Amino acid sequence: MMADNGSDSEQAFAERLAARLRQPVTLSERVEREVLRRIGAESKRSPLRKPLAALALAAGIVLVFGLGVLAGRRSVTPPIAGAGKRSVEFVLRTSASSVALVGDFNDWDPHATPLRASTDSLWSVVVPLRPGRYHYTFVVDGTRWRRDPAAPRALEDDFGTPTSVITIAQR
Amino acid sequence: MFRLTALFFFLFLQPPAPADAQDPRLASRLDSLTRTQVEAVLTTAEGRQLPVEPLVQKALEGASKGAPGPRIVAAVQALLVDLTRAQQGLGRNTTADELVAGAAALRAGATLEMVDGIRRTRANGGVAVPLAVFADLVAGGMPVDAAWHSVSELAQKGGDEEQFLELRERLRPRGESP
Repeated sequence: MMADNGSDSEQAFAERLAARLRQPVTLSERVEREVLRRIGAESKRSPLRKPLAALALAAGIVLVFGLGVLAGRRSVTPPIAGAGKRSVEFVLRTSASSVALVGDFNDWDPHATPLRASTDSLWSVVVPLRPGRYHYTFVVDGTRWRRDPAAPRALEDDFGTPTSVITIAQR
Repeated sequence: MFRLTALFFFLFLQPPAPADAQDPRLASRLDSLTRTQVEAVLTTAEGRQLPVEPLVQKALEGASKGAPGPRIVAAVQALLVDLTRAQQGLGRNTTADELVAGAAALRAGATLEMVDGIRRTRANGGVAVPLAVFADLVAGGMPVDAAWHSVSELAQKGGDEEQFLELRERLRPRGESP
């Protein structure tokens, strides 16, 4: 993640921040299963009939992800991707009207994984990935290829455009 | 008799079934000549018991980046060579992830002896992450010998995958321009 015209210190800060944010987020399987089980059970009932139960469930979810934040993890959506996958957040700071993520995980399809902008031109998306090594890059405004400044660059440059790599451990 | 003849033609004179190497994703993204040449590479990979998905992704990467057909074919062929060499170094009982990482390590400057050495060191653990970390360190500008020393030292200490990724973050140069 990097500002297009930022100073060196801002760039270094942005890279440190991005490296931290890009750490894969996982909760224990037991916690994930319990949260999803309760959500599934709760969806069968109207929360209006059981307001206290709904409130308790919401508090439980907030507590679970709050603990994650306190432990130094960034809270992301619950891991709904399936067994073995880890949620990885990709972040890019740039002035643009659109940013997309392309890589080995989405067949390099520029329409498959658009990033969403938050404040300060910070674009991000969370992608569930199985353990492995993936090549990827960002497509800015549909024409510019930008590698991820917070990730190692790919050694091979077969097509003359910047590419990054990410390695997901088995755990 | 007519029915028997028709049945014979139906059973035995059907057009040849599509080869396993044909991938519908390639049909929609590559021109026919490029697709045919890439599929020939995929068939070779299957014959060598190599994973084809990394090769498909390489072709799709080239297509997405608007590379000309010959360049896409050359990139896929180069990856096939790297995967084949990785298989020589790591053996046939190797996962696809390990072969991909081995290919990256060989392209980064590791030798077959080095790859084989790390496989022996980590007989009870995977080699995908250590080899990937080595490739990443070299790509970041670290000399091959220094990168290999760091990785093999941690391997000999029995480091787990997270420790290898931490090692990479520690040693990776900062402030690279995108």
